[in-house]
Amino acid sequence: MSVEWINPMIGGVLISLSLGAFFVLNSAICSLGDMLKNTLERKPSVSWSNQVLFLIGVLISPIIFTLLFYPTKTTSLNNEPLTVIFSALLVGTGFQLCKGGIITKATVGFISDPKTAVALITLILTFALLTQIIVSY
Amino acid sequence: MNSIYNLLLGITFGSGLILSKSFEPTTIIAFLNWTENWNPSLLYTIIGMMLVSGIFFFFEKKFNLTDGFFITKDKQIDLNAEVIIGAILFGIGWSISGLCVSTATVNLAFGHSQSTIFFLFMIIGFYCPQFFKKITL
Repeated sequence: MSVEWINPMIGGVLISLSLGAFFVLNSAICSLGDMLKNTLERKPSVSWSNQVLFLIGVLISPIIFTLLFYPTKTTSLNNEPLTVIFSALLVGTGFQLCKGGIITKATVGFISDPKTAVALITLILTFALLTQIIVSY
Repeated sequence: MNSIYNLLLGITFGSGLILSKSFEPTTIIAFLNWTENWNPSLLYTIIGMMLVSGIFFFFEKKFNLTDGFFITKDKQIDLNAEVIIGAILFGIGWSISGLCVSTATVNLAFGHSQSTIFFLFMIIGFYCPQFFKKITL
């Protein structure tokens, strides 16, 4: 089985670089989830508008990527609507309690506190794998 | 000028997710499902993210920037029960749908109804811990 590893790794580097450059530029360390919450909650400020701009960039990235490189498409979720709602609530609640998801922990979490980040990534992956085993059977 | 940089950083973040294909729920499920056609690309993405974050961490330690420019104390989290439960909930939700906070945001651009429902309920999930704390106190 040939495994494509260059693109995933460069993708990971780009994700981390963009968040790292964001806090160097704005003196604000935050993940995409933090930006989403801040956008909804906070009153406009320089940092707030920069976070909104970052989010707009993320939202238009598939269009820009398609124009510059190759067409992108994604498959629609084939889950029942209730399953989608249930998983979304779990992801949102888990993100809030854990102060980040897997990407947050591997990027800004790793910069702040690598040991805790690795422990939480391991925990997230373990329960995700266990869930997948249960769902499969 | 700063606004353009933040917009570009958002595009870079989204492009990283697209290039690594980790924005596709099928890639996540294929990584978590070890029984058939295991796809390790997410592992390479995480390694790529950690490599860059490790460099940022090195500079943060080397120049002792804690409590200053880079890291504030509130971003260093303790491994308490709340955080651990959050990681478990996040892992379960992520495994069911294949979407997390960042990938759900990028998927909004594709306009699939289920991705949009996921995004909306994920935002509601952000406020669930706050809501439950309020009604139990």
